[in-house]
Amino acid sequence: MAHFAHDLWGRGRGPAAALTPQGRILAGALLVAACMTAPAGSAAGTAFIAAVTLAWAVACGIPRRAAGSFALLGLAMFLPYFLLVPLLAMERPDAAAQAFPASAAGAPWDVFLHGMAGMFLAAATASSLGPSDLRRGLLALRVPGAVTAIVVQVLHQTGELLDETRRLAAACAVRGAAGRGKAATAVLAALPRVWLPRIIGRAERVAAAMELRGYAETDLRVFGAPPLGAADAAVVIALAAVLAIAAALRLGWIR
Amino acid sequence: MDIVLPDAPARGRWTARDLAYCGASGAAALLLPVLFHLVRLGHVFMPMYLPLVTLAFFVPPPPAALTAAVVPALSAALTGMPPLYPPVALFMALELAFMAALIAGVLRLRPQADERLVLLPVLCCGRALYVALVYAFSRLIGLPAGFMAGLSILSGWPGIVLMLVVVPPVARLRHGHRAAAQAPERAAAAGKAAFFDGIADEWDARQDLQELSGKLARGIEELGVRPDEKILDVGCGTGNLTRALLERLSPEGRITAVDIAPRMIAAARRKIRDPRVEWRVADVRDLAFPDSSFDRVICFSAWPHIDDREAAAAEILRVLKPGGTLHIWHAAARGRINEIHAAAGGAIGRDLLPPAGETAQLLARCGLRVRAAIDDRERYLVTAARDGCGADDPGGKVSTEG
Repeated sequence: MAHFAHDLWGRGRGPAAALTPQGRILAGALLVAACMTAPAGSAAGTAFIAAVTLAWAVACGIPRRAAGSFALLGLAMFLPYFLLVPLLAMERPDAAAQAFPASAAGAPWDVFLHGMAGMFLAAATASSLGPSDLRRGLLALRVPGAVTAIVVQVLHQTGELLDETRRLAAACAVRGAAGRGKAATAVLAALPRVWLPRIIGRAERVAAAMELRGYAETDLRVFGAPPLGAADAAVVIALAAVLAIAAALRLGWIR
Repeated sequence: MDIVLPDAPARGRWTARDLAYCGASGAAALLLPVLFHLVRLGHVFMPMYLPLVTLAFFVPPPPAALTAAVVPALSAALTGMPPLYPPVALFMALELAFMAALIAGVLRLRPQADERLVLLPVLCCGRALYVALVYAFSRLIGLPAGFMAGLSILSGWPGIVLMLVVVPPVARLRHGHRAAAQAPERAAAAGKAAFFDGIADEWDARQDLQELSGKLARGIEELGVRPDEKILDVGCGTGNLTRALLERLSPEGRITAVDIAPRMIAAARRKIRDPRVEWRVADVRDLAFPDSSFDRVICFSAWPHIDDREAAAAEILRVLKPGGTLHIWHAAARGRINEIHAAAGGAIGRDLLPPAGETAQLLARCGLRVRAAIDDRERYLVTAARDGCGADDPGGKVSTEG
């Protein structure tokens, strides 16, 4: 998606890269919608969500390192929901006797599966978009100009700030502030006080530079993207069908 | 300088500075959580909130709210946090956009407001919104709603305390940066003050005072000025409008007359000695009066000379009482006024009076309710009121000609 993400995770080089940027964004959004629509409480729904997520991750060629990191992060974020099972069982004593979807583990499983799917689909899509792809894609999709301008600015400045962040992180680690305890707390208290004024100062410098270089006269539409091609159209139609299947699963028309 | 966004006209223009601040704060909001996670306290102290809440002190409400709404989604896609499901990213986006819009909106009305007094209620309201969303969603998907909402309340407090400690000192920097950003405009204002100082002694000799006095009396009658009002005369010059207003006011009425040119004020002071008038040298963008001080503000023959009209309108809105009225008034046609300024050249050569509709739009953007916009061969009058009880001009007419 940008230097930032690619620096962190690496760049995906799967077959999805053949699509236009707007085609990739649209496909990612449709698949997220499909997975969120499909129910996690049935075997068919679970299989559907897992298959769609896996297929898109492969299509985007999400780097192994990124996949591993996101898997660990997902486990850390969504497994704790299963700690709610005893509480749910207490709230609904009848649920303990019931089969899986209606049992107390149903809701945590729903969060786990949908959460992991959302995370992987977004990460896969992000890994397939190059530094300028996102801007071109958003403009081609007729996303409001203000949103595009902000996204472009945020990503550009994130790239610029990344090295500084790394230096700060290294300095924290060298001073023993990379764990818990006194040093960590001291760093925690000082960090925003040091960091935020620097950001404000930086924003002023960037604003001055933008004015000086005539950025104001730049119309964002000059960064055009190629129109949707036949391959894009076919993929989008296919994914709309995937969304329809998800809706059918949700409505119980397919079991 | 303004940025041309692809669909900007409907929304107005953002300055390069606004966009630079949004970019820098958004970037910090993406990266600061990474640093906090080094000390394994990222989820407790809500680090993403710090730059986005701070941003609201530096830019107008629309860019602040939009940035606050966009960044959580961007972060979810790039780093996996906050998660897309359960829709924490969406809830955070709503909470942050709500808080940013509220803070930036309050600061537009009260630029000098104490940062902590603004922050505390806004942060509490934002958290309440977030907790309500978590509660509703937990109920929807069958999680223990009360428990999840309670967890959200408990986990939010350390972050709120951190913001109350860290954000106000950083937010105070805006005063210094605003001054720096306004430096070119202040230089232009100083040039205009020197220009008007130079012609102060001959100002009245250039005009047909008898004709002007008749026009002013008729105009004041039409504006519906009440005898006991407290009026601010912006750009009073040598006090011709002030004198006409005094004839209308009772002993209880008061006029505060301000002008940017000291010699104009000196000339007016020599001409009019009345205890009901207070004379001040002041820039309309920075009026040293308490909030809600005046029943009526009249800007007669001065509007084209104000460079940053949005800042002026915001400041006038601040000093107007709820229900109070602003009149931007010229006793001649717009085209004629622009011809005179162009012919004068120098510091005022490019001070053009915009069409009344444009001025009305600007006032509406700043939060005033426009009641009339008249732009014909005889005069130029835009009347707007601050919302609140007591507005006595139900008007709403718009008329333009030529």
